[in-house]
Amino acid sequence: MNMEINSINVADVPSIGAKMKSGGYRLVVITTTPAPEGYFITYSFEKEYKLEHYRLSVEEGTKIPSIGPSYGGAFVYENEIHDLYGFTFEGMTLDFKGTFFKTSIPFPFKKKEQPAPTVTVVNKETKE
Amino acid sequence: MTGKQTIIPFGPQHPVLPEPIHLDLVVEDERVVSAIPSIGYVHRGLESLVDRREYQDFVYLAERICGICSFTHSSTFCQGIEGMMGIDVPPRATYLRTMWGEYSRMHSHLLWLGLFADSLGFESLFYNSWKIREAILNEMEATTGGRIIQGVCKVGGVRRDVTPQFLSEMDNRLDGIEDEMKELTNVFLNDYTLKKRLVGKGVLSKEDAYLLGTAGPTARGSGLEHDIRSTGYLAYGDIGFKPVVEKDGDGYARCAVRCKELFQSVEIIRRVITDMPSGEVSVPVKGNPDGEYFSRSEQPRGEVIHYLKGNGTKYLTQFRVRTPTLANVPALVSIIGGCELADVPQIVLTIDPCIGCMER
Repeated sequence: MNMEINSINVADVPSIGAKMKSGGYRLVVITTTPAPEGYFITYSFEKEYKLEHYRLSVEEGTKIPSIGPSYGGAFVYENEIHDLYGFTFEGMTLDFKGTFFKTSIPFPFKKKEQPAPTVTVVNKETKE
Repeated sequence: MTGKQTIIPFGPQHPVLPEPIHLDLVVEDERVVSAIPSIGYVHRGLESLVDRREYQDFVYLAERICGICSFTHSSTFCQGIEGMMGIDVPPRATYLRTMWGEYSRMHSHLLWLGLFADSLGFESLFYNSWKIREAILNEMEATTGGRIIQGVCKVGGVRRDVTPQFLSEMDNRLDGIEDEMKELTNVFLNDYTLKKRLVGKGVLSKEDAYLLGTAGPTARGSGLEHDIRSTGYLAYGDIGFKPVVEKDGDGYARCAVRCKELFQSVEIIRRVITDMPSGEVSVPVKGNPDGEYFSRSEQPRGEVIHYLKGNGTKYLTQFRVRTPTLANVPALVSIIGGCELADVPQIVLTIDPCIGCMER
């Protein structure tokens, strides 16, 4: 579906939230993706079934202002991103301080120094 | 009111909860002031496996995100890959996907109706809901080979076809299922006790439903005409679709939406059977996905989003799922605030939470 993505800066996040809310958009999801350098955090809004995306390109450890003041329900996405990737969102409507998801290791989706091995199919002949 | 606040833990293990979620209920006497949710008890990290499984094999994993809306997860994932690779799925396959998607909706709604009846101690109603659900699961098993996990969807189409004779027999069996559902929903919508536990409980306004990003019957019960099937994906564009909407925003409205959607699904399946195009059910797939895609579908609980990112290899680089239950958590927090403590279990159930699905 519509994949036109607008790039924004960290400082723009609260104003984008306010603009989308006043424009009658609903917040659909906030997605984090590892990028070649750092991470992409994508805010997806929707109006009349049409998606509009805004993307931040951020380094690890960047503090990001919450869009909670505009969209109270954003706390589920922001806390999830904090618990899985380690980003801090400032001014969340509900801050679980790292206890929203109970993970066995801290920030499990954070980039690893060594990527996880892919599955290798071993042929019967090779096994023998 | 004494003004003294106490925190009462609700869950993660609770008689009305089939899956674990925890709520810290801040109460003042018998009234809930606020609720703070915690999740993560069944987080499996399925999304992170995407770079270790080939995209064609990952369909099986996507299907296992949820044990109830499993078919829709696999079809949404396939739809995303097909969108990224520009694959035109044969019309017969899209009709079959629509049919199985609607059977999934019926089985999910009947499961919820049964669980809700059980939460009130109405065991005969629970039994009858699940008895009808068995007939739906039998149809799924007969056409796909699986009752819960079908394994029938693949990138480029579906694995199995259904003969015209079987479709015609299925159409006849739908009459019996519909009659039984009429009797069942009559109880859910008119029984004195059920109405007492639902009417005016857990009210969510239309404005809150929109701003909190609510999805599915929870949003439509608040008067929000939001249903991804309206976009016309799969065969919904050919068949024509109008969402079921209720205006009151309470538990009864959410229950009524699910009851009415059962009959809507029957009508959609009948149209699918009548208009089923002939031809192949899959096309060969060559190459690997490259680019990004947001794939959206309407699951029984609401809009699901699969975000996919490929780099031209057989492994995707990113997969992220936003399930309807996660989108409905802020609404749940909102509607519990101000309710009576005794109503909490039923209010939690009225959003039809699917925790396994939410946590992936």
